[in-house]
Parts: sequence; C-alpha cells; structure tokens
Amino acid sequence: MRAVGAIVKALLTLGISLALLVSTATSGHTLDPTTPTVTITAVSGYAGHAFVYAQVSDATVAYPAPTGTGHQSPYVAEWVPEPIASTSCPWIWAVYVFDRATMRQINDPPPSAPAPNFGTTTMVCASPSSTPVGQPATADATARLDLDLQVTAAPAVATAGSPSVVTAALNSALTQDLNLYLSMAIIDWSVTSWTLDFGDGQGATRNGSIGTVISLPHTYLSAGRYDARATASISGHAQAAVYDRYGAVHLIRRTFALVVSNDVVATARARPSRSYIPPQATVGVVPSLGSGSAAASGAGFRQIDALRGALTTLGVRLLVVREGVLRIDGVGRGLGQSRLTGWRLDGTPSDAPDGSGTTPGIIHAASEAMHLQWNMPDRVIGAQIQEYVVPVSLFVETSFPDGHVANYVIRSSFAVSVNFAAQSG
Amino acid sequence: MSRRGQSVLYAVLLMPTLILVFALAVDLGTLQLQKIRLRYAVDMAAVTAATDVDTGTYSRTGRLQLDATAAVATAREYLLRNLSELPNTPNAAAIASSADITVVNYVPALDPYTGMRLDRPAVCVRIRVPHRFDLLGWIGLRLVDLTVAANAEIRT
Repeated sequence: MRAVGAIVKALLTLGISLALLVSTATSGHTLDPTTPTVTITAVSGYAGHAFVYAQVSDATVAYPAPTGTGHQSPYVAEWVPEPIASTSCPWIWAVYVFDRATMRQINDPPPSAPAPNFGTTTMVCASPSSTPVGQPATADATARLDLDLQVTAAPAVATAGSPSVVTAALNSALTQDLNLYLSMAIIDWSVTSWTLDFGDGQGATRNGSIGTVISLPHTYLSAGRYDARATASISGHAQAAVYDRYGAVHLIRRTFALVVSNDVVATARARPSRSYIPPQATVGVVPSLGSGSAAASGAGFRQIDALRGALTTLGVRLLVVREGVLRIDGVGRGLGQSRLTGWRLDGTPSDAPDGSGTTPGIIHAASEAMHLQWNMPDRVIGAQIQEYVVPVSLFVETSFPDGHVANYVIRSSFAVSVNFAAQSG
Repeated sequence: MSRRGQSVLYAVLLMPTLILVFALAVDLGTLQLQKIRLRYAVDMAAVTAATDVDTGTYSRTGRLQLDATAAVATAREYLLRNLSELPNTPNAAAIASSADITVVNYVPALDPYTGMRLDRPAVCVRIRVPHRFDLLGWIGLRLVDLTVAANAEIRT
C-alpha cells in the first residue's frame, strides 16, 4: 500500500508540474482578444468614387518585433526606455532581441563595447524632444483605400449600327499606417465582377479576376443618347497587426466588400445614308488573227478593223469611263474599283465556221477570248459606211472604299470595220 | 508595059509592105500576150504579199497594217517564182530583185506607180521587163521595155 501511495504521489506531482509548465508557457504570449478594436467602413459610390476606411485601436501599446518582413518573426524583442540625458536624444529604446526558439539573446554587446551600452547593440532614439515613457503611445492605426472609376465610350459620337467600345478603368489610392505599435493595412483587394449596362437595354457581366480595366464592344442599333454605366464589385481584406509585450504579432483580418459605379453618355447618331453609284464603262477588245487565246495584256479598243473572211480572236476588256462612287449623305466619299468578271455576246452569231465562233447568250469568264468572223464587207448606205456593231454584256464587280462590293451588268458594244479583200489595179 | 509586067511590078512593090504588116501583127500580139502574163505575175505577187498582216500592231492598235519588211520580201519571192515560169522572160531573178515595191500603211494615199487611190493598207509593185521583137527586128526595132504595175490591199 505504501508503494501504491508513493506512485500516486509521484504521478500527482508530475501532473501538477506539467500543468504549471503549460500555463506559464502560454499565458505570457497570448493576446487579449477583447483589447484591440478593428472597425471597417466600406462606402459604395455610384458617382465614380468609393472608399474603405479601416481602423484598429489598441490601448495595450505593446512593442512590435524587430525588423523583418514577416509578421511572425523568429525573434522576439523587449523594448526598454532608458534615459541618457543627451540633448539630441534624451531617451533611447534599448532593444533586447531573443531567438524565439531558445530565448537566447542574440544582440549581446561585445566585451569591448564602450559603456553605457545597456547590454545590447540595438538602440533606437525615440524622439529628440520627448520621452516615450509616460506618454500615451499611438493607440490607433488607420488605412484608407480610395477608388475612382472612370467610364469612357469611344468614339464619343458613334454611328448607329457601328461598333463602339465602352471602357471602365478603376484607379486606386491607398494610405495605411504601419507604425511602431500598431499597423492597419488593406490587402488582397480585387474586382470580383464587372457589370456594364449599355443603356439600351443590353448589358454584360464579367465575373472572376478581370483586373481594374475592362473594355467591351457594343453596337447601338438606333440613334440616341445612352447612359452607359459600369459597376465594379470589389472585395478584400483589411488586416491589423498588434503586438503583445513579447513582440509576437497578432493579425486581425476583416473582409470588406463594396461597389463603385459610374456612367458615361454614349451618343449614337443616325446612320448616314449611303448610296453606291454604279460605274460607267464600255467594252473594249484587243484583236488578233486566228483562233488563239486572248491577249493577256493591252488596252482594249472600241473600234477595230477586221479582215473579211478571217477568224478574229478578241480579248475582252473593261474600259471604265467613270468609276463607281460612294456617296454618304449625298457627298462623294470615294471611288470604287471595278473589274471585269465575265462577258456575254449578245445579238446574232457571226460568220465564223461552225464550232469555231463564239455563241451568243453564253456567259464567259473575263479571261476567255471571243472568236468572231465577218464574211461580208461593211455596208454602204447613202454613201455612208455602216460598220458592224457587236453588242456585249459586261459583268462587273465594283469594290467601294467602305468595303461594299456590288455587281453590275453593263450593256455595251464595239464597232468593227470589215475591210474588203485584196484587189489589183 | 504588058499586063503581065504590071502584075510583077505590083507584086515586087507590095510584098515588103505586106510582110511588114504581118510582122507587126505577130510581134504586137506577142507583146500583148507577154504583158498579160506579166500582169498576172505581178498581181499574184502583190496579193500574196498583202497577206503579211502586222499582227503585233493589230493587237496594239486595233488597226490593220502590213508588215512592211515581210511584205516586200514576200512580193520579191513570188515575183521570182511567177516570172521564172514565164516564157520569153530571161533573167527573172534580176527583174524580181530590181522591182519597185512599196508598202502603204497610212491611208488614204495614192499608189506611187499607178496613181490609184488606196483606202486600205496595200502593197504596190512595179516591174520593168525588156521585150525582144522577133520580126520587127528586120526594120531595126528589136527591144522595148514593158512596165507593169499592180497593187493589192490587205487581205487574208
């Protein structure tokens, strides 16, 4: 029994020791969560401006960890104000930095360091004129994010039926306190969605991480003035950093969300009246004797000679008298470019032998040759020579400066003077 | 003088006249026949040369013209061929090479050899051929020059 009692007593002692160890290990580095007060005010705006205001208040005024980019430093520090009676710096902070894992001071002064060194190599002059001791330290830290949304429409005056581009650009300005005792920062904010109302009953929404600028094309189908409105939905975090007496940082994060909206007047004017004046053109031919192919080059002629009884090959050309004209609101805005796509021989068959002449009424490609023959010379009526007239329909494609392409059929003709056969004198 | 003597006298006086008339008739007939043959020869040469159309100019201008160089060469070639076949036409090569040949491309114009009006491009040819009389040589008329001209308008 005595052995059992001894075992129980030992276990009880061990448990109490462990409990004390745990309590001492945690109580010195915890933050009283009721002490810091974090408030966030997010104000949405519909005239192009919105802002977020974040504030942290902490009367504890504990000291932060020493320098370092991370909030959770591997070192901890204790800051001790020391009077030194200097005119330039009556008080200094003596900073004692410890390795967090071993709690061993890492900034001991070397033995040769001149006195007074307060047992540290890190000293900070707090103020040249006042002491940090006994004065209320900064109890508040604030951060403010200002958002300005600009909406533009390009072109400023569009043509109904033509595309416009509505662009919304969000500019931001951020101020935040990152001071010795407290820090208040706004981080991780972004636009979560864009909504564009084009003002004509149509709109668009883009979700996800888009960025602070968005451009969307839109076509106003009818003339008028439209209130194009862009709305950005924004969310993010405000983060306060407070420190306990041992330099351990405690982060307090709060989310915020707001919207900022603005509009622009997009004007669409009535679509101008467009008219396309057809080109004026006639047929020209490039003659050659025999039944070969058409000449690939050379200007065409409206009147040619031909030998009686000889098969004549004719390359068909488009002779443009006046190009097609693009008119906008009655004013000429440019000339078209016409090209021959095909032709058709009208009228009656020529005297060419069967199978060798061109048959009327059939549409041919522009590059194809016309084959004709005349076995009788020009007629003479009333002492006037009557030349042959060959009617041809031209198939013309005209491209206008605005990209419009029109096809026309132009009826034309060319004249042929058929010479007599040889005669001797 | 008896009647018999008078007849002999008439026969002696008229015989040379009759012979002269006969010779004139024969040689002039031969001359005309030769002129017709030469006319055909020149005509055919001109007609053949009138088929040398300048195709390049035709395609470039739409107007029919003759290829002057080719037409002159063709005319001489066919003159030589045609004259070589004719009787009583020695030295055809010399005649053909010395023939006057003109290509008229710009009309209206006049044939430089005949004065004929030309309304279309044409080849004009003229030759001079010496002709020897057979019988008239008795009276000293042995040789005459025959000049034959022709033209042909452009054709196929």
